[in-house]
Amino acid sequence: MDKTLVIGCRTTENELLAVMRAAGISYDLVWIEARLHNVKKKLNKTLSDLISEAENYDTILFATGFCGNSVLGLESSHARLVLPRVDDCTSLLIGGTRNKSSWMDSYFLTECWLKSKGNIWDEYKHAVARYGSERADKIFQVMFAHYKRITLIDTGCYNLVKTRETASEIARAFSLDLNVLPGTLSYLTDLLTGNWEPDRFLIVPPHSRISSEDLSRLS
Amino acid sequence: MTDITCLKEQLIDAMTKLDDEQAQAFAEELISLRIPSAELQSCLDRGLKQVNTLFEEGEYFLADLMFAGMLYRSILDLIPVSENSSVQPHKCVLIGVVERDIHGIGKDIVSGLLKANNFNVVDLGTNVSPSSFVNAIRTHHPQIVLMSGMMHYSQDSMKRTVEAITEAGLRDSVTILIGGGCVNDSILEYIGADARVNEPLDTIALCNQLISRGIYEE
Repeated sequence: MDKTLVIGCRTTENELLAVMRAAGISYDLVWIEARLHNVKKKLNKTLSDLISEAENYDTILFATGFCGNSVLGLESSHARLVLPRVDDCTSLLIGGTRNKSSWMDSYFLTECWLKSKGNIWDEYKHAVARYGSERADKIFQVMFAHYKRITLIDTGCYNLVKTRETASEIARAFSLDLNVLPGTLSYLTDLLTGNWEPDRFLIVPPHSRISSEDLSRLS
Repeated sequence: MTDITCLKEQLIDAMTKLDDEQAQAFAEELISLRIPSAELQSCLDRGLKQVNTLFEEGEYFLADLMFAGMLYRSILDLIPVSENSSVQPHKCVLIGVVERDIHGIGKDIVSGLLKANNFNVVDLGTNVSPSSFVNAIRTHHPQIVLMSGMMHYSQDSMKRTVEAITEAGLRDSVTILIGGGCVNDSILEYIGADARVNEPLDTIALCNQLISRGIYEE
């Protein structure tokens, strides 16, 4: 019987666990930390190591996006790899990368994003503690110069009221608008239930390396 | 006699620790001792590299990277203008984040470092259309065009920009560099760019190399 491993990212922990519960799925699950996204080569190495260690699995499902091409070059000698054709976890929760173009000036958040190590609020509080409010505000003015809004993705998997309070605080601190966008669990559900349409999922057989061409098609 | 070597190491250390007061004090002392600006900058480069390493190791935050960039520029601003004028005539870089992408932090860091390295920088900002790149090339005659992109679809924006530059008959007049989270070596040919850049300091070094090759017409 096909043995499946799920690689999940902490930024979508609420949503992934909710989908697994709803679908009655109990695949083995390993997590990667959100902060790895800051250093692509580290993320790539971590994913590569996880694949190598997953010797006894036939299928490895990535509950992640391509994440700045961090998945480029990944290969398994024994398992097929299945990846959603999305650029990152944000697109996973809003139904695809193409849906993001309307929200280009948004900084996206969910509860898990705000709980993950090195999240933007932690960044700001660290900057205030280290540099003082005035200089921290200057730094963040530069960092957020191109954003117009904080967009909270409502996936139904966390306490929206409480998270919205924090998101409002962040929006005020950075002089941004706050929006709430309904999210979707359809992508994660399809991933976990084997509904892998080629336009939405990249399926990589054993002994095949993920190429740039593989990553060029996004849903 | 003051030990210049010791002061340089102290400057690197202060830069690494993001201690702006100490870093500026050591820099001022070195400037008063008439240290060549290139040597001073080399110290800052080493400090910045160490900050980057600490960021990659998870010790430093993104805000620390931003602060390091700001500190770097503020220290170079301390160098008297006559010392800091090793500008070649028309040493110009056009930089921008491509269409439909607004991730500008990396671009801002590189832009700041280029200015600190005496480049005339034309910063087009973010979400820059192909036609805006073309118009800017016609107006400012840069030697180098730096395109940045984080989102995956930015690869297509970069490709369309290179195509627009080519159709405008301007391709041979510029070297096109690409950087940001969406790029890797294997898409250079797809996009039609000349080189990929990764770390900010490597970008500056490459831009300096390209200019010093003297392959551009004035």
